Amino acid sequence: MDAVLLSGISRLALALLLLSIPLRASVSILLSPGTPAPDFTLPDIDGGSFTLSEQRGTVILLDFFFIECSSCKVALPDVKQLLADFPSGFRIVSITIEPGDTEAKLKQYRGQEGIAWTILRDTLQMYSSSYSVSVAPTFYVIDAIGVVRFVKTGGIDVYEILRPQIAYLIDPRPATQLTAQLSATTVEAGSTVTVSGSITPPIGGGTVSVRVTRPDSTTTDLSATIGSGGSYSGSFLADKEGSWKVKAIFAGDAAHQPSESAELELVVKPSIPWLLIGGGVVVIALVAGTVWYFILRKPPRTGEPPPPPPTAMEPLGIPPAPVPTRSLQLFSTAATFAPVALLGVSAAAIVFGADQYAWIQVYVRVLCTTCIGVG
Amino acid sequence: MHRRRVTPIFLKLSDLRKGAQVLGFVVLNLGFTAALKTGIVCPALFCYACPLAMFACPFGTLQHFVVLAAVPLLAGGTIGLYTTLLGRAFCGWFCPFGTVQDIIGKLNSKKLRVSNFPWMKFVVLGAALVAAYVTTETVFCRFCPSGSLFAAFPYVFMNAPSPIPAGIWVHVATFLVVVFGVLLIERVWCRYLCPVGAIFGPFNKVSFLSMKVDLSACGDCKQCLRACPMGIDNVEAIGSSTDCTRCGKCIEACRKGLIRYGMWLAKSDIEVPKSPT
Repeated sequence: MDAVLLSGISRLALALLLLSIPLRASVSILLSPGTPAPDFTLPDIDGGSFTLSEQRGTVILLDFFFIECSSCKVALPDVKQLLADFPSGFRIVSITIEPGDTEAKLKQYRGQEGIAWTILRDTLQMYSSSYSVSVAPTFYVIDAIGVVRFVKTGGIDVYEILRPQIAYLIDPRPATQLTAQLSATTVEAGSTVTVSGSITPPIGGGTVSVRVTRPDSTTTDLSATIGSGGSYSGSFLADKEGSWKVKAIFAGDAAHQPSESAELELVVKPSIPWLLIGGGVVVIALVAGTVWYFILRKPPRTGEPPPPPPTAMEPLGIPPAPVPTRSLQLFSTAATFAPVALLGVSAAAIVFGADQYAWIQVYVRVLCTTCIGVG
Repeated sequence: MHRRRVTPIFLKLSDLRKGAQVLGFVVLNLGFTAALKTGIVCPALFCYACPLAMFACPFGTLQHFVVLAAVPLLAGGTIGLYTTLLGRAFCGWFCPFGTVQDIIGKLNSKKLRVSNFPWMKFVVLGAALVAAYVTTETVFCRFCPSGSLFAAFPYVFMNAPSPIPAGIWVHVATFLVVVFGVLLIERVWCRYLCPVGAIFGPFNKVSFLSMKVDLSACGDCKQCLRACPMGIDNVEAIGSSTDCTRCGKCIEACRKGLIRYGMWLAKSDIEVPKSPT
């Protein structure tokens, strides 16, 4: 009886034990935020090792993955973007949970995918023991003192979900948003351009630095004070033709994170050399006048008898010229002044078309491949 | 009514003209740095793709604006300014391609006297503008012999492309055709084909500068017409014809000094005898 009972109990225990394996796997519970991250030391694929507890002062993103995991590949661009967004105070560590991912395979994978962070091999199988990972990828965000702050599974929306968490851990100050706009996007050289914008949340009394990059790549920083409503403005002289870049920068303060506006482009066209054109016209007029007066002008007659009157031909039967009508006189007068009218029209066209100077200058400066037959 | 034969005080008219042509050649080629490359339209057929170009070609610029479907206010105004002042005188006194034709033409002293077709250059002008609009590129420039000489050939010498693009061979062909033509007919390009001449020509009738011909004493010797490089065949058309480049060779040729340059408000005294009815 006892033997039968013992046998039954032992079979029941074995059955429960067998049942508990998948049950345990299916209900594995990830580490909760606030839990100290279990320390570990694992080999990396370059022959070194990595110890979590040695990374104090740095925010760590643990990425549990394996090579053949398609969701892990989906997440890779987001992970790369996170590294680009936080170049300091932040480190990514990928840990392969597949024992079949050998060093050689992992190196090949790193090269193929352009991974620029540490890759470890989980030789301790700690993914299942201490970190309870059952989904690949699983991301653990660990703060600078080694505490788990956020956990995410799956490869979708990695960047959108993890970025604010990491940003907060790196810098817990509230984020700011800075906008900027130019008073004009195309101006003539020598014009004054105003940069204005606002910062959110409004930080009255703070300072925004407007970085102006000239066409020759030299930069100038202008300082603009933020008003009580969060707006700011500053001006600079666009004194050189070409493409200028303008960006507003808030350096941050004790209670706010730094931020930058989008980079704005300003096209500065060459100023029209009115002085040169005017001077040239005057010089041409003077030269032309001098040439005409001294070289081409008919000299005044001196002491020469007046020519015989044309009426001398009248006896041959040629009738005198008809007296022009009034309309013909008006037409003749109008025709006489046609050059003046044309000159006025031309001058008006030049004035109104002055902004086309830069267009035409491009034709002279840029090789026209069509014109010479090579384009 | 005899007039004094017009001779400059210090230099002959032909010397002045040659000096102006040299000056035009030099001035247009001063764009050897980007700082000297202006956006000013020049009064000559001179390719702005030239490595040394300082000014923009008037016809190339007009084609560009046709392609852009924009009104060429600045280019049009500048051309209007030039031509209202001096008419087509730039062709005779300034245009480097005209100068090149004069130089090449000296290689053959026995040229053909052929009729003028003043309408032909206007056809070229209209066709080139229509082609630019339809194809949305500066088609005429692909064939322009001035572009051949001042831009395509320098490009080949400076860049030594291999193989030489087909477009360059087109330029070689058009330039050789013009060279051959100039050896047979004086200023053949300016006479028949130049679109810039077509634009400038009509302004001869209204420009401040004019040519005054005293026909009352004209003996009809036709020396002025024989000297005309543009083949004008009518004394009364001197100065006002769309072909006249106001080069002044007729002034030098007239033994009686009956032809002279005139200025605005004095142009109405061009004397034409009244024929008996």
